[in-house]
Amino acid sequence: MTAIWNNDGSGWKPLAPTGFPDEAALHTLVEEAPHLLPLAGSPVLAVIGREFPLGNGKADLLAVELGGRLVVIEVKLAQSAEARRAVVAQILAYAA
Amino acid sequence: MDPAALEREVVGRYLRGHGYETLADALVAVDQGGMFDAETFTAGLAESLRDGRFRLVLVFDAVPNELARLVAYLESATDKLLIDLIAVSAYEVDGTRLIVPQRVQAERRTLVLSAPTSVPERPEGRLSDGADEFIASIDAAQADQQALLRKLAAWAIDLKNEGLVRLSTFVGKSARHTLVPRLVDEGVGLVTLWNHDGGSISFHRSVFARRAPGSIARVEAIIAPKMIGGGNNTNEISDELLVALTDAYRKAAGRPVRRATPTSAEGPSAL
Repeated sequence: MTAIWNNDGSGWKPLAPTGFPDEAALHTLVEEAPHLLPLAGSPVLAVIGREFPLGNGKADLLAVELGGRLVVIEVKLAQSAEARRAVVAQILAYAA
Repeated sequence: MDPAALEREVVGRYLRGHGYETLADALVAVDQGGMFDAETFTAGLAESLRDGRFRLVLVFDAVPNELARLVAYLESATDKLLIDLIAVSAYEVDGTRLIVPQRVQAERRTLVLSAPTSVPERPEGRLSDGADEFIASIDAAQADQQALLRKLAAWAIDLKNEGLVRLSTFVGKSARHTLVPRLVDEGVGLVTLWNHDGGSISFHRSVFARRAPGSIARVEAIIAPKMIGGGNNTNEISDELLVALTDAYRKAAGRPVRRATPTSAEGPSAL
């Protein structure tokens, strides 16, 4: 497991993640800096929309790669069981 | 839906709100290597829209196990979706916020990624480390442009020798060459140098805003009426501009800036 380790004088210990205050904070981070995402193939992409109508719902962000492939980005916090269920339903809808 | 309708009716407001007129403008603004090719992009976008073939990126602060299993299953069941499962962790260290993004490898991931796809990961072209290929391309440029191109290459090499950047060259279609001086820590450049129908420089506003915001006004005063960003480039390249860009790179790298005066301007070394 990847972790950030810190030694405060009493030995090396993994730092606990501080998390994000809310989903909007993570959403904004991804929208402003999509290049931080380590995606397969390392594509260059530009965000071109948010809250994008797709199927019966809305995708959090829409982006496009240099080669023209569309990129749908969903951003969620894991501790929200409701959000987890919602994203599973969204993924199944996308795959259908 | 076709690409024109997507651009006009669906994402037009978002693009204009961010200072872009077209999808191409938005991509050129983030295209450090000058890899964007309009023909390849339009064909790829049309295919993505027509076939429903796209990339799905799921970003969590922590990835639940059941989601990783679901992604693995779906990727094995469809050839139209490429799914990236990303965990972004945030830490606080001595008052500094750290962000650690990681890609979660789901089962059977390798098999799916090795499958052929008609939409290329990158447009046609070749990326190489260093400035050698860019320099080699100068001999084939128009004779009246070669001195300018050598000056640009020498300037970039000076940045590298100062430890501010690493260099990479992209060779695109139609023998288009670009040289990007990339900040060592982040791998992005404030500018891209072009050998394409002559020598020119394009500017990356988002990188300026993030790493050298104090340099924007100085550079824009020199290239006026053009502005940094929006795919703008200039072929009017004075020593004053190169000195201002050198200072911008120093600021971006956290180095002290040696403010140049008209009598002490640091022009690039000879190539």
